[in-house]
Amino acid sequence: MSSPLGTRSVRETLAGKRLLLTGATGFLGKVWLAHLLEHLPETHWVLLLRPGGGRGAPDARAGRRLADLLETSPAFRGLRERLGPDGLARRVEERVRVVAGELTAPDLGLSPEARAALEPLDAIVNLAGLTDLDPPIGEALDVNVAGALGALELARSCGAALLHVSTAYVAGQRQGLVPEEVVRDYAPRPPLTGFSAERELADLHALLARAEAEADDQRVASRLEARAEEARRRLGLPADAPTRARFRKTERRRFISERVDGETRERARSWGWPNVYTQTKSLAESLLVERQGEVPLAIARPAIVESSWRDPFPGWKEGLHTSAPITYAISEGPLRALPARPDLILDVIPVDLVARGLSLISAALLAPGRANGACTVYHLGTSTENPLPMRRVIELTSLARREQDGPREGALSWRDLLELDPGASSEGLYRATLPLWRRVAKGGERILGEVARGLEGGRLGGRFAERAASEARRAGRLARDLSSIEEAVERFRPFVLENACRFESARVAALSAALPPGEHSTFGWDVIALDWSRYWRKVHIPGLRRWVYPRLEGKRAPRDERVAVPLDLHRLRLSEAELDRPRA
Amino acid sequence: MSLRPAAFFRVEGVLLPPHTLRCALYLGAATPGIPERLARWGGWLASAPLAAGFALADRRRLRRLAGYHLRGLSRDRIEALGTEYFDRFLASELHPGGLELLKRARADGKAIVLCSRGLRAALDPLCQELQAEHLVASELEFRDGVATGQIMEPDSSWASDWAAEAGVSLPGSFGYGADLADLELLEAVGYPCAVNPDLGLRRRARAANWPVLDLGREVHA
Repeated sequence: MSSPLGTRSVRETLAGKRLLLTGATGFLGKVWLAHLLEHLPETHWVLLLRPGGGRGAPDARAGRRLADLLETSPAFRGLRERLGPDGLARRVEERVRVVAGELTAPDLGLSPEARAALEPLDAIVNLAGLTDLDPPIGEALDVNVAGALGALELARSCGAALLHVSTAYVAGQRQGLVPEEVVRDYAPRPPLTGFSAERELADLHALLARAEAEADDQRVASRLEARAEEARRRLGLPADAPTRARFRKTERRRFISERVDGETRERARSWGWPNVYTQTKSLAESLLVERQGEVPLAIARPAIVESSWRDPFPGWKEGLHTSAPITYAISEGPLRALPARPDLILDVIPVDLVARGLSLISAALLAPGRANGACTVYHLGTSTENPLPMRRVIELTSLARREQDGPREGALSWRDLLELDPGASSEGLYRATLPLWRRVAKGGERILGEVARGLEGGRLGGRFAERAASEARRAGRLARDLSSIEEAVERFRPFVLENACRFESARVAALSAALPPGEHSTFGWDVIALDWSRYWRKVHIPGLRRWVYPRLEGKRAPRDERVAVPLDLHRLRLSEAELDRPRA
Repeated sequence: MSLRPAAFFRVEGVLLPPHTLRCALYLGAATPGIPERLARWGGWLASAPLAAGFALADRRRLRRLAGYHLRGLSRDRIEALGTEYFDRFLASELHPGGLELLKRARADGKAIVLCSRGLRAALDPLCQELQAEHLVASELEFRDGVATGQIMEPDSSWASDWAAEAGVSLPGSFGYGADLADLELLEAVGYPCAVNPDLGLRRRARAANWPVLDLGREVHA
């Protein structure tokens, strides 16, 4: 396929360039970092990391966080094997520098020395974000909005470009094709007088400030303090000042959360966003464009980022905030009727394809001849080139469930005939199943509890009371499980039932078409080659079973056995990087 | 360019017992959704007398009926359950005598070609298992990833078309057929052989002086 861009090599464009990366410890961040270390060994990366705990200077603690990731994260498994621990350490020492920072702090928490040592910087890639769909509004505003604006200001002061990673679902409640553009002051359902992102930001801050002021009211504060003390005592923790302060802080946060979370969720929905996450991401986009000035800006909007297709290895996944709760309820739980529009396209994209997309966009952003003050939006999704309808998502999930039970042997049995595979259902059928069972279980818990209490103390009832109490507990557990599935269904309702939109993704396809032949297999945007049946049944669902479902069950996700990577943390410090960094 | 020889194997009768109807029943039995499943089972029951008649009189129509009862199932389901069906039933029913013929043909350097009137979904795994170069089988028609109920059987001239495309010499090739429907294929190849043939093919084979192999009772023509 010929491209209007001619030929553009990602490797050559990014060789010798220096990019600062935030959010490198997240799921996408780690996969992209592994991809960069492997395929772009001539590019220099500065990682902005929060310093971990322990002793030592913040930069050293941040360096230890990176070392821990390299040694244990499955994302770097392939690199550990291919380069060997020494080779990986060398590659990282040569190409990566670590600086301690905090996305939510002024100047991203960089010390003046670190800030000075950053330059010359070619680009900042802001991958950091809260991916929880309905996070506390304070944290969402800090990370998703203030963090992005902080990255913009740093880019401006360093003369660097900015690649901001957002989400395709900033589109909110929309139907049809969503173009690759930013609309200033966008809201999916704006008021008649027009929507203002600045005003919305101020209103949200004011809402938060009111709740904070209420929490600081003397009477409320003393009540919260008493609750914090009670919680501390219940857990048997010492009464030293730091522990008490921690509990006070938790109680205060909970109070504020109770005051504002419901309202902010409702507010996001009233403007047409499905949740606080997409609203704050959209506000950040509007404000970035508003305040951009001369900073070259690109916005990457991945759709729902799911497990890896090929790299670092098939089926790796971290994080609970994508389709995992729904597929879990189908694969492992009792959900047999999911309220979904069968023809609605769910835009799912494997994480390693997003990583390739980010490499392509970074190269486009830093290619010669870029226009200052321009903003280019890139959707990273599958819905236009290789659409996956909900009908197929449910079908493939239920087929994966059959396969994960192991090979079926022997003649047909009753199980073959009576086992029911899930399907997309109407709202009515859904209401008649899961929520009804939850109410029945809840009622059962109450009635059995009362029976147990009634029998207690009676001469004959002791044994029966014990049995009733045990059944009541079982019914309660079932009700809670069903309730959490119901919540997951409600969270996903906009994505599977309401918003039937597709995301145009022509720009990244054009960048891919412009790659020289030797780079297609490494950086090519080949969503068309993605065989959904194979990916979903053989890669994605088995990957979720291994890496994510244990966490949904309250267990720990497996980690790789630690392989010591002999990193010299001093060589990762930013100031020393300046001594030996060649410039292209 | 020199043309290479191939060995053509009719699956039903030479390598496996006939199974199209059983396969269709298996694929349709696990229809998702309670109303849909009951409707499909009801349809089967209603058409059982017709199926019995077709089984005696016209097996092509029986296969069409089987295809019709798969309408509405997704391609994903048919492919996944086809593999499941092969692993569960067909893999253990492969006929040792037929396999031996196939092994010898491969050792002689012939390209292995499987031809079947069964559904491709259940035979693709067989093709992989036997490392066959090509499989000709009945194809279900799909619209938007959903089966329409139409079944498309291979064209009678497929062997010569495929041989021309793949650089195979039909006069230098072997053909193993089991019933009269294989006549066209057996006449096209240089070394035809009837394996456990039905009555019609047995007569034609004798008349044409083709070898007839009776590999044992476990092979059903």
